[in-house]
Amino acid sequence: MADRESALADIQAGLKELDEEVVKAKADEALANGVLPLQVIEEGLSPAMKEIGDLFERGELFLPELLVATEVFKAGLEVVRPSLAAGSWEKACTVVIGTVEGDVHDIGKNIVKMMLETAGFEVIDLGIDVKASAFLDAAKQSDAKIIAASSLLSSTLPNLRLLVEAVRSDGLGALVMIGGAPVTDDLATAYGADGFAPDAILAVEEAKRLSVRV
Amino acid sequence: MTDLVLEVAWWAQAQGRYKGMMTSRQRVAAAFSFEEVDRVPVWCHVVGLSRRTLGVSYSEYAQSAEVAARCQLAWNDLIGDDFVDAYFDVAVEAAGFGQRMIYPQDEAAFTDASDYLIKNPDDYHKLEKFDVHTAPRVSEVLRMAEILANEVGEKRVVLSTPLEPFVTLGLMRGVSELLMDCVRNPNDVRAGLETVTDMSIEYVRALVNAGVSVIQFAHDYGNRAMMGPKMWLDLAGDCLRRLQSAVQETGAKLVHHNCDKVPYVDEAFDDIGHLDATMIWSLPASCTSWSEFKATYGNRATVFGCLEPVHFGTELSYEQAKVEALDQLRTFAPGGGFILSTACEFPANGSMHNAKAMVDACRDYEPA
Repeated sequence: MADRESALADIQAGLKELDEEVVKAKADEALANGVLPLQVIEEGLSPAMKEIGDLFERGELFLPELLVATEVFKAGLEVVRPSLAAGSWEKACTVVIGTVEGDVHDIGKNIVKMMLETAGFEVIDLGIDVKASAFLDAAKQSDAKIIAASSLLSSTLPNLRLLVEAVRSDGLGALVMIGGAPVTDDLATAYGADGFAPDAILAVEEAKRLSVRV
Repeated sequence: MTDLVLEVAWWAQAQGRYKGMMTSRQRVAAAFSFEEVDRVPVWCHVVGLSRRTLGVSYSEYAQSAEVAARCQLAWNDLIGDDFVDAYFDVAVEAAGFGQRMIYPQDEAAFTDASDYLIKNPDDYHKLEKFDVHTAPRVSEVLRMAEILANEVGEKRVVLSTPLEPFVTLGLMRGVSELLMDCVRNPNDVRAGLETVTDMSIEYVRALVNAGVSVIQFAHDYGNRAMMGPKMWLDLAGDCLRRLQSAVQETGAKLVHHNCDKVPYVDEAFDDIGHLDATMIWSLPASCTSWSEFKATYGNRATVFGCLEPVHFGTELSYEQAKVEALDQLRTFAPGGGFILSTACEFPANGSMHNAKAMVDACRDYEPA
């Protein structure tokens, strides 16, 4: 028991130190000591990731560290994945994500994608400059419950509205959440979006809120 | 017909309105010196929007000094603000290093993310210096500056915007990868920053030789949205000090610019220095209002700004825009040392009328 608790604590410490090698080694050690794969995630990796997210929200830790933390989290996840029973952790639901047509900025979208993955969402990343029809096709093919779209340019903001309209007129049951630097809560309401988040941490919370609606 | 009448009226106003008063150069110089001005100077900060005066695509604007200069001159002829911009977009220096570019018809040029020049941390050490007078895009911006200086340099201020070295590196590595390299491979990042800084110094000197008298540096990684202040200063501080000192040596004025959340303004002033002006989009952590910002920093440097470009350029009517511009003037103009501007580039899809509203507000503003 003590070895198992110690291994989980070491995983948390390694992730908070952004040390990929330590996290991988301790994840291996935890499995060898009889810790269940799901426990490695839910009692090792995820609590540390939550703490890192809270530090980011409070402005005590910043984007470079957050990005590395998501990479270290994923490295730890890959150690336990072969031992996971299929569907036992991931797929809080599937999210299709992309930057709208005409917009080639992706840093914010990439961070949201990483944070969603660390929270157990299956994410289909369509990249940048994505037409509304491509969002719809991907959502149908993957049975996605949420479409997450971003726009960083004022000139492409209208394409967020067009995406929402396309989803509604198609009758697709997926919910649409939007974000990006010029996007506001009021704009999201005006566009008829189902959700909005001003940053990557809150995007995860918003996705969780939406995932229980579908 | 109404639009044509408006255009003619604006042109006539731009040509004749300020006869007998200060030239733009005199007005801007006075603003930088906190001296009395005939009216508050104005910079509409128009780049992509200017091509609509001549019906030019962004692809054409972004690749030709002559085309871009004609657009800037046509815009300035029409609207009459005090500056002309020797500027294409953010990806000029990256192209000089050999980064592959994409030139859309209706959006600013950008670097090709499928073929970054810096593919791994070792590649930071392989960046090769280039001749600013012959390098792709860099040489074109220099020629654009020469054209603008020759055409209107006697009366208008020619301004250019080279980028903080971090921005250029991000465009050649990918922003996410660069930020992670800052944590995992900081010494490699430092090597890249040094090389980019060396080239930026040569670029800045050449811009000033070409007739640019105001250099705006975008500290786009020096804010809370990108990284912590300690990391920013640790990695980029020495480079920025070298760069901004080099600008000072040319005699050009240096404008500090930052268009993301919670900019590190104190660090820019105190740790890097050599600033003549500041232009920011959102408030620093030390201030809770723009009035407080003016009171805190307005006696240290000339303030440019601070109209929020997306809202101002695309969401307001002309009348609403003029009201907001006048509000800004009432906040910032008293005491001098202020130049009305949007806090970042005026949206390329924005309303020309709203840009004109800035000029009209400066014309009509009466100090209390």
